[in-house]
Amino acid sequence: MTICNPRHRLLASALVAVGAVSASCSGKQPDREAPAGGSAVAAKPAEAPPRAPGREYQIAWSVWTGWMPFKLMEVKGFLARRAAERGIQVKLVEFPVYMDAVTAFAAGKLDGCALTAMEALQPAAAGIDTVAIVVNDTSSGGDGVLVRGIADLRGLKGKEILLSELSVSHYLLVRGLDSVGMKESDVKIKNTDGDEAGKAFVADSRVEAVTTWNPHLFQATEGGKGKVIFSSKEIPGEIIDVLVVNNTALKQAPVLGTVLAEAWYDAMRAIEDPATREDSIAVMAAGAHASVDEFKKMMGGTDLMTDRARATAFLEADTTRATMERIKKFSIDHGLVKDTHFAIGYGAKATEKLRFDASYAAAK
Amino acid sequence: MTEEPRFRSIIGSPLAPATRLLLGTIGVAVCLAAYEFYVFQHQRDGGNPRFSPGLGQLWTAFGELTLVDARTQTVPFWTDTRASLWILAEGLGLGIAISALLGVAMGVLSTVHAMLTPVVSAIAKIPPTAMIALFMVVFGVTGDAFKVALIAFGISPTLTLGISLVAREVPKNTIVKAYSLGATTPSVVVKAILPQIIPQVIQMIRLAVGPAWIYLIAAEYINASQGIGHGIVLSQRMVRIDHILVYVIWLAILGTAIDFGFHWLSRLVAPWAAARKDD
Repeated sequence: MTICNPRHRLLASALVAVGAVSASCSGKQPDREAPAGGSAVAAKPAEAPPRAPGREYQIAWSVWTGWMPFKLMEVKGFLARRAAERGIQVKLVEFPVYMDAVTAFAAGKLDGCALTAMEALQPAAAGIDTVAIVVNDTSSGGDGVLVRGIADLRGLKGKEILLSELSVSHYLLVRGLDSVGMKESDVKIKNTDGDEAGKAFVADSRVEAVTTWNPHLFQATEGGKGKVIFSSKEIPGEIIDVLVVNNTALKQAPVLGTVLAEAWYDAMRAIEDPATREDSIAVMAAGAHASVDEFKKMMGGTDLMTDRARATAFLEADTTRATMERIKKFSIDHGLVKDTHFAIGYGAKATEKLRFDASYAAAK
Repeated sequence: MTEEPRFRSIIGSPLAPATRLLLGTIGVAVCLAAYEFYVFQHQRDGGNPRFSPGLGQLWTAFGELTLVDARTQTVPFWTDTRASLWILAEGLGLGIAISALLGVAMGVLSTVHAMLTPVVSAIAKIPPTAMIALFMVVFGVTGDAFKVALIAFGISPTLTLGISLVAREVPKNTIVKAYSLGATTPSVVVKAILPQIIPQVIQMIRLAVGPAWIYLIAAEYINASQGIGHGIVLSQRMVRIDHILVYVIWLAILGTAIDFGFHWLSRLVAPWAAARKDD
C-alpha cells in the first residue's frame, strides 16, 4: 500500500488501497502497468497538483450481467478507439469485489465506477461530486429472495436470511416485506456477500433463505433446490445500474463523459446487431466465467438498456426520480446517508452532489 | 533487606512506579498529539474530513454508535460487543479444553507425545483463516458454530504444543518425590504436575487471545448479523471512517482488559509464580 501510495496516508486508504491495488495489480493487467496503475489510482484531486493532460483515467467495474459490456468495450477495442479519437487515455479496472470499487470511488481514488443507483448515494454523501452519465441496465428478475421450505414472504417471519446488508439485496427484501405489511425486524438478517449466500444456499440445505442474484437464482430453481418468492421483476426499474464519473475528472477532461458513453453504445450496438450478437455474448460470458447458455439466462433477468433513446430518457425520467426518492429514504433510514436533506439533481445544469445527467449519452 | 546493585547502567535500570506511570502517560499523549497533528495537516491541505476524523469527531461518533437504533430498538455497539465477546469466550473455552487435554496427555505420556507431535506441529502451520471457506461448508453459515470452530482450531495446535512442552519440563525429582510419598499416577498429574504448569499455561492462553480476535473479526467480516467485525463492515459500507476507528479503539481497550484479566488470574491462582520472578 505504501509503495503504491506514498504521497498521502489517508486513513481510508488502509481500507481502500487494498481493493484498488489488488485490482490494479491483479493478473488481469500486464505487469508493467501495475505500479503505474496503482499510483494513478492513489492520486487524489484535492491534494495533487493539476495533472498533466495526458494522464490516464481509471474507470472501475465488476462482474455483473449488466456490466459485462465493459468487457466487450475492452476486448473489442471500442473504448480504446473512442478515447484515441478524443485524445485521452481511459483504462477499465476490473474489481474482484464490487464493494471495494464503491469504497475506492467514494474515497476519490477512481475517476469513474459502475455501481447501482443506490450505492451512488454513498460517494455523493461522502462529498464526491458524482455524475451518473449512462444507465447500464435495470434488474428484472435477476435479483430475488430465494427460499426452501418456505411458502411465501410471510413465511419468512422469524427466519434467518443471508444477504449483503445495506446493498440492493437488502433493499429488495425490504420492498418485499413492505408489500405484505411486514417489518425488517420480523426477520433475522445475516450479512453475507450475495454470491457467497447464493453458493451457500445451493450447497447447504440448512440455509433456508437468501437474497441473491443470477446465476444462483436459476441454478437453485432449476435444480429443484428452492424457489424465488420475490424478485426484482415485481419492482421493475428500481434496481438500476449506472456508470458514474467523478465530476473533478469531467472538469479536467470534458470529453471523458462522451468517450465512455460512445464506447458503451458501441458495445450496445454490437450486442443488438445480429451479425455480431453471438460473438459479443461469447466474449461477455467468458468474462463472467459462465457458459454462453448460462449467460443468456442471466441476460433474461436483466433489462439491458441497449436502446440509446430509451436509456437517455430513463436517466432523467419522472419514474426514475420517484424510484430514487424511495431509495434515498431507504438509505437515510438505514444510516447509509446521514444528511436527511440530501438531494439528487437531474439534467446538465444540476449542481447537487449526485446528479443524473443524460447529456453525455444523448446521441450527437 | 534490599540488595544494592553492584553497578548501575542505563540498560534495564529500575524505575519508580510514579516515573513509569508518567512516562506511559507521555507515550499515549504523544500518540494522540501526533494523530491530531496529522488530522490538522490533512484538513488544512483540503483533505476530506470524513477520512481524517479528529478526536472530537471520534467522541461524537462513539455517541452516535451508542444511541438506540430505531429499526432494531437496540444499541448496535453493545450488541456487537456482547456478540463478539460471547463467541470469543466459546472459541477460547473450546480451544483451551482441547489443548489442555491433548497437551497434558502429550506432556505426560511419551507414547501420546510421539504419536501426536508430527500431526499437531503440521496443523499448527496452517493459517486458520485459510480454513474459513471449508469451515463454513462443514459447520454451516446459519449459526455461529463455524466462528467458534475457527477460533478453537486456530489456537489449539500452538497451545497444545506449548502445554506439552512445559508439562515435560516439570523436574523429574518432583515426580519421583510425589510417587515416593505414595501418590498414584493420576494424582501425580493432578497434584504435582498441573499446579506447577498453571502459571505458564495462563501466560500461553493470554498470548492466544490476540490470534483468537483475528479469527473472530475475519469470520464476522464475511458472515454475521452482529459483532464488532460486522459493525466495521457496515461502517465501511457507509464510508464512516470515524465509526471504524471507534470500533478499532474499542478493540484495543477490550484486548487490554482481557490481558489484564489473565494477568490478575495468574496472580490469583499462582501468587508464588510472580514472586519467583525478580519482577
